[in-house]
Amino acid sequence: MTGAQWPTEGPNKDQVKEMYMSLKTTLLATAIALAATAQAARAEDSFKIGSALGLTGYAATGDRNWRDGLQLAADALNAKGGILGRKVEIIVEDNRSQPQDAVVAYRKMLSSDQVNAFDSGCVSAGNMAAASFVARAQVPMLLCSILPQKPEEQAWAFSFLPPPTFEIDARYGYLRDRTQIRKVGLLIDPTPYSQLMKGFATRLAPQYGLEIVAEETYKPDDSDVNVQLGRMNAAGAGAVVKLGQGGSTVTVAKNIRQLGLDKMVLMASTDDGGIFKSASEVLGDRFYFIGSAVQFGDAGPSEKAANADKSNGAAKAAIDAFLTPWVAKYGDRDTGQASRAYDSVMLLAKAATAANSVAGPAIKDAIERVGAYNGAGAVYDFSDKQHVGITKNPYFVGQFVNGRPTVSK
Amino acid sequence: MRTPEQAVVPLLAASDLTARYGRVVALKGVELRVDEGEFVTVLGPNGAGKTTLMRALMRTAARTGTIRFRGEDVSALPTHALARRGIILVQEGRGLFGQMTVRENLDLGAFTRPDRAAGEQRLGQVFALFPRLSERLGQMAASLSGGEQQMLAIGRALMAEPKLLMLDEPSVGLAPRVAVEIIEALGALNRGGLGILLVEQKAPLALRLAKRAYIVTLGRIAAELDAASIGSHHDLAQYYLS
Amino acid sequence: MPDLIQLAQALVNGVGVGLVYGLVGIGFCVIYNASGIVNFAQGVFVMLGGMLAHTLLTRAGLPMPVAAVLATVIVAAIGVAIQLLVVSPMWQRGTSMFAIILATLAVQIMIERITILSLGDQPRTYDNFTPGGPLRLGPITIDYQLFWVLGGGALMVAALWLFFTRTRIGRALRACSQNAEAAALLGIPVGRMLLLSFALSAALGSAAGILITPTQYTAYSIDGPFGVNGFIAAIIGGFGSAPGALAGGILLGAAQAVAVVLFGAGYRNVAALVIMLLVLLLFPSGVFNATRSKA
Ligand SMILES: Nc1ncnc2c1ncn2[C@@H]1O[C@H](COP(=O)(O)OP(=O)(O)O)[C@@H](O)[C@H]1O
Ligand SMILES: [Mg+2]
Repeated sequence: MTGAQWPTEGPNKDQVKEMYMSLKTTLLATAIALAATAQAARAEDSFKIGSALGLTGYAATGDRNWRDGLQLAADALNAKGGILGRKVEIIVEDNRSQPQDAVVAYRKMLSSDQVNAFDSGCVSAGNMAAASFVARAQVPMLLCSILPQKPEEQAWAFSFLPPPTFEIDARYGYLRDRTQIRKVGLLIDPTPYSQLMKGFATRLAPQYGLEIVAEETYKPDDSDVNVQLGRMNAAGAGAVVKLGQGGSTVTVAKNIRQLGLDKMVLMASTDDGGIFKSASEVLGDRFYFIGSAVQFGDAGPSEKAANADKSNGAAKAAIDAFLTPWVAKYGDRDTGQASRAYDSVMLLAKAATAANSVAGPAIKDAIERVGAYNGAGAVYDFSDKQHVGITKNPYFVGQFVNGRPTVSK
Repeated sequence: MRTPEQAVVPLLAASDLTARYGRVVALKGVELRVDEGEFVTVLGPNGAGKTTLMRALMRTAARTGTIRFRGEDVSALPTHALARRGIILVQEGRGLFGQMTVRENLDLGAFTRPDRAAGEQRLGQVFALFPRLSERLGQMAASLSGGEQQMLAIGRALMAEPKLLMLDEPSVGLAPRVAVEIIEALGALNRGGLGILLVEQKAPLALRLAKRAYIVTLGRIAAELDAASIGSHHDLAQYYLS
Repeated sequence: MPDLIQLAQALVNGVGVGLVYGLVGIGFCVIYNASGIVNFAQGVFVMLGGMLAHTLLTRAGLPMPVAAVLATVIVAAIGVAIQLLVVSPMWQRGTSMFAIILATLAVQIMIERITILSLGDQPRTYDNFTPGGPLRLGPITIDYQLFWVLGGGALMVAALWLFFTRTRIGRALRACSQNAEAAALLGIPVGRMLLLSFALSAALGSAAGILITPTQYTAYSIDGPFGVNGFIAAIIGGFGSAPGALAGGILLGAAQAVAVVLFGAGYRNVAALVIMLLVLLLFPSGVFNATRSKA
């Protein structure tokens, strides 16, 4: 059927043309405004932090939080005179969660923005793809993701991600110490990170006296996981340990209830608080999640964290310094990723100040000499040998009690 | 001084009607008139532009020029509004809704005339004209014979309460006997006062009933024949040879 | 034998999801028939239905029936806006069908972005319409919401059927799908019918989204999977046939469920694509062509 043969109703052509014209004008004005901002950004006396982020695509939720955490830290620093008297400026490029776009973003920030350091989001493949030329340019890269693979690239990269084994340890420890459950089913998504965790999960289980009775996979956008849950139940699993993030956690919770598996508990991967809240509304006290102290907010274990770290309230002070402005600005939005983004900028500032330099090599060396650092999201301990900063498990197992995240007793 | 004939407002009057397919001009500067209750035929060889003329009148082809219907300038109206005014075209190839029943096709003819009682009455008239349709009501339109399809197309058009019924080669592909049957039905409608504009290639059939004829060749009106000169097959032949 | 039970359980759930794919598939057909356009923004309507219903439930505190109706009306209006602002101007300028179809893809991306900005990027869900459950039939459980999905779906299909066969406007819409020029020549405003087809298929997608959300989650990104599966359902049914799309959706949902039981979770999409390819190769005009009646 061909459409355009007879006139149809709708806005007449002139109206449409007018709309397009005004749209064009708006776009033009926006472009000019953006160009002007970009021009201002060239001011020489700022300390520039470039960030390649998946503002759209699969990493969007986390990376938006990372971006806002960076900006919160920059604002806090600027209120106190910036870094070495320079205004801190966060330059954000969207990599659409794609490695190819990440490479373009990194190159742009290196050559045209001439950033002093990178502080990028969780799209690990993108960060890895850019690592070689960033290292050659001798610019330190602080990362939300895991480290790149080659030693010469790792030398310039610093990871603010808790090692995956901590997620497993936290959940297994809870099952062993607080429950009677000894048979566990693993529900695994196909991402590299989840596959990595799966290795730890199977290896660590015996150490906690747990038995993996089922290993099932799913895809993040599957409409249900009924079959997998049915098999786990048939195998006698009392707990589903989910290795993978996203809305699928809510679907799993729904499915457990739909199948009438009244005894089964669900333990989710680290994720955004909003997802935990939705899942707990479905499963109630049979839903467990893990989060760092800051994610529990006021109801959180900051006292406990402080005690555990034996740092006399330093952890609580760090959490408050971040949490107060964050809550003022973003309400109850999740803090897991944002707190570590905040920490990364603060640690960068501390290093640059100690080095009294904005040059890449000097800052890199200084980060390695900062030593144990009490952040809002975790305790970091970088050194020349240790570029994965989080060495102590920052996670607590929690549940929602009266709609608030609470550490499980 | 105006003659009495000119003082009457024509049913349809098109002037300077031009239509293009892309850059090809298929119809150029056509002047055409149909009076109330008149039976007019448009003749011309294959490819002359007869169908284009119909589509230009109904605005299913892009066109310029002026069209007046009962004195109202309808040049800017879209196709469906022209139909609502009462200009109904039975397309070349009939344009039936093949996967719908005869009854549904007829009902759709009455789309712009939702009055139930009047609709039933018109349906009765259609069945009186084409009794065979009443036996086929539940059948898919596509499964009808060619003659029945043409009857359905005309019947459907009548359900729209036309003031001017235009038909584009309704006798094409029909057995001569059936073609005559159809043309005679048109004659009956015309005697009832309906204005008709009939496009045909075959002159004899159309000229039996028409009071006036336009001869179209190469996208132009080559000649206009009145009642007096109609019947002289001599005149017509020259256009068909071109 | 536990495998048979698993299979039965999977089929029960697969049919529910499949019905939703079928409804989305019908949405594809309604617009395609009226205009020849494959509206790739179809999945967006499912997403918006769930998201708006959730917003109206939680933020505006409306009761479920009100929220559902209101959300569907809003989504239908969005469908109309897409037609008026994007499709119609292109259509009137005689833009190629391919470009219009691409434009609907762009609309999908744009609406996703707008959803993130206005409603957030968090997955969410709401409770079953009826509390309690699931219903236990021996070893097999049936979630109460599944009855809502099946009942609501059946009701919508029946209403659609009545609309297309018994009402003046519904018949006119079918007429446009079979011969738009002939329809215009009978006084049917084809442009307005096209508008109606967008409203109708948007409302259909929205209702499907509202029904299915309690069994899983909704978020700005779920339009992709629902759009793709609805598209495949429409293809199985011979793109254009509403009953075919419905049957295609149910077949697809069931086949995916069986594939997950027999071969594993990774085979859900493989099953969908294999079925689609088989249909395209063996039944180019749809599996249910024999019983096809256009709508
Ligand atoms: N859709 C079209 N595109 C391009 N040219 C066309 C189209 N339809 C008709 N024509 C051309 O316009 C001329 C008139 O065609 P038409 O009006 O169908 O003639 P008739 O009905 O008298 O046989 C012919 O030369 C034909 O080839
Ligand atoms: Mg012709």
